[in-house]
Amino acid sequence: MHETVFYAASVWMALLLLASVYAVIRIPSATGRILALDTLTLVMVGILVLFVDAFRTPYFLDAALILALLAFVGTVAAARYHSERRVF
Amino acid sequence: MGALLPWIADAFVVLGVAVITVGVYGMLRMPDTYTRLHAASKAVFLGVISLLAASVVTGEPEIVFRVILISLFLLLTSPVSAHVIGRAAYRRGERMLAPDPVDESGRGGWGASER
Repeated sequence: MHETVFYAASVWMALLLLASVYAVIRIPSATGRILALDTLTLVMVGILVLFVDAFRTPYFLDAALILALLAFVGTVAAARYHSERRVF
Repeated sequence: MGALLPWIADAFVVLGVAVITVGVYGMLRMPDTYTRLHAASKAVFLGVISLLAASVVTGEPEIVFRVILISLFLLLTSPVSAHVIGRAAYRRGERMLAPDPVDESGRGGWGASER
């Protein structure tokens, strides 16, 4: 039963990842695309956290932390460059 | 209680996946960036927090401390990135496409009138 929940959640999160990629491609405005990329990375963090729960190893959480950090820096840089033509 | 813990983890996983689904669907469904921010920034963040809570149930300290670290990091950075995106949309003068928008900025001219 628990394995079934894990597999179903993994497949569903993969579908949500595909939906996020669709959003990145299809959203017309640039800020919406930046937001969709941020959401896509958060979904990837969610998939890594699911793997932590399934395999009982903490090492996926290191990757999840670094992915969240890169998503934050990338989002701030892209949005600030889009609005002000400079990052800092 | 020990036999109940995996079921609590499963409940957190199902809750988190459902909330993330609502967030991604809202991001696809909403008409402009300002309303997309409501769905994407809050719902997806809370869904990931729920998935992290499912990992806490395992009880191993090297998982629990990393989960606390990631939760605090997301708690700090998610509002900042949402604010930066909303500010970028505002500074670029994007129109509000929601059904009955009210522009309180005093700029005028780029609210609902031209839709």
